[in-house]
Amino acid sequence: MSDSTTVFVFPAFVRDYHEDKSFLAKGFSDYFYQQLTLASEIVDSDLSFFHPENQTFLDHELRTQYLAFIYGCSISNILQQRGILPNYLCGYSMGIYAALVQGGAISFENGLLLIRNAFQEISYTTMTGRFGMAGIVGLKKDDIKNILKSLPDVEIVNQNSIYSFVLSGNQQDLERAIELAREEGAFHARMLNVTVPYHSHLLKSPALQFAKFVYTLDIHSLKIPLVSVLNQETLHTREDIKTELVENLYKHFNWHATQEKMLSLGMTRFIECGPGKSLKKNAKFIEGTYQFLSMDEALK
Amino acid sequence: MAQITENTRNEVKEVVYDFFADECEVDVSEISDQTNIIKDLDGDSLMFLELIEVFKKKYSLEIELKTIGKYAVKNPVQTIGELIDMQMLIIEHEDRILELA
Repeated sequence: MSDSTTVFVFPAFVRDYHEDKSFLAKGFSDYFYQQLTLASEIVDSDLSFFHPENQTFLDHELRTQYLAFIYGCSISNILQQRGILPNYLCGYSMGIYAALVQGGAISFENGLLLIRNAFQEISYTTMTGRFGMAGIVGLKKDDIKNILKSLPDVEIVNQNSIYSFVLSGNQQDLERAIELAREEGAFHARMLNVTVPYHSHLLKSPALQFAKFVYTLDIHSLKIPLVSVLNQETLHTREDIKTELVENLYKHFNWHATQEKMLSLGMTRFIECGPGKSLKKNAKFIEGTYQFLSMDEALK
Repeated sequence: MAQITENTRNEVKEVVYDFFADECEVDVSEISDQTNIIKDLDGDSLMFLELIEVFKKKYSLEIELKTIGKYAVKNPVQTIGELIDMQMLIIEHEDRILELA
């Protein structure tokens, strides 16, 4: 394992922890609950009620983000205690916050405050209507572009692989896009369980408000480089990070291109620092010689 | 169009069983033609997509994924046995499968 160039990948929203085996791993549970207690004191006292076996926060968008962040920070800590160290970091969408903590750019506390502030700013926009995101699997990008010709307010905001895409926009148009995608032959087309049109132009205004907060924070250069999912550049500097944090809310990203770029840079081992295997499953559609490990596999 | 032989169904069955055993981390002996892909194996659309790609390569099939998707909407698959039946039709008819729907 030591010959590989390792990337810690941090997922964005995780809702299902009940089958996750990380809590059985030595040291993880204690550290996780210690961080959870800290987070409940900083941003939300109800977080202390979380237990992986129940689904208390299934529909609470902000708390699912906090938990994915706390989990990501905790698991990367345990991996490092076991001598598994990342050469690069990557945050899938809102997974950026845990990646930045791991890279030493921000503190755990500031990561929580960034998540809270971004969500608050976004909420002012989402109060004005019904928005969301959708996932479509089984169509090519051109097929989806054709569908969206009649739905100009829906955007393709992420490409996971050549046959898997994420859309953002207003809910009514997204629902129509899903209907059309099914008619066109999509294997899978459904709304995601979020009310925020992440990565769409609709969030540009709140992102600029969020920027005011970002620029008040103590942000350091990265000790471990971060690969941007927005433009696939390798980021190091404080200014790079601030720009990335703001643009990450309203700019499209491309997970497929990001993973291909990381492979071209010689990265050969990816570890998904979250419960579940969604990024690992997706990786099967990206050509290359590499390992993509779920948390269960990494902790074995 | 791929040549269908007596052995083709057995080949397809073996690939499907091994694929789901591996993907879903279950012993192949736990899978039967009656196994429900979603309820019993926690299967998902990405697995289905991956399996289709396996067969496209194995049999050099000329068919677009969305054609299979359109067929599947009209002829939904729930069990391993139904999936094998559909895969046999795909191998036999390729992009003309919609004429059967």
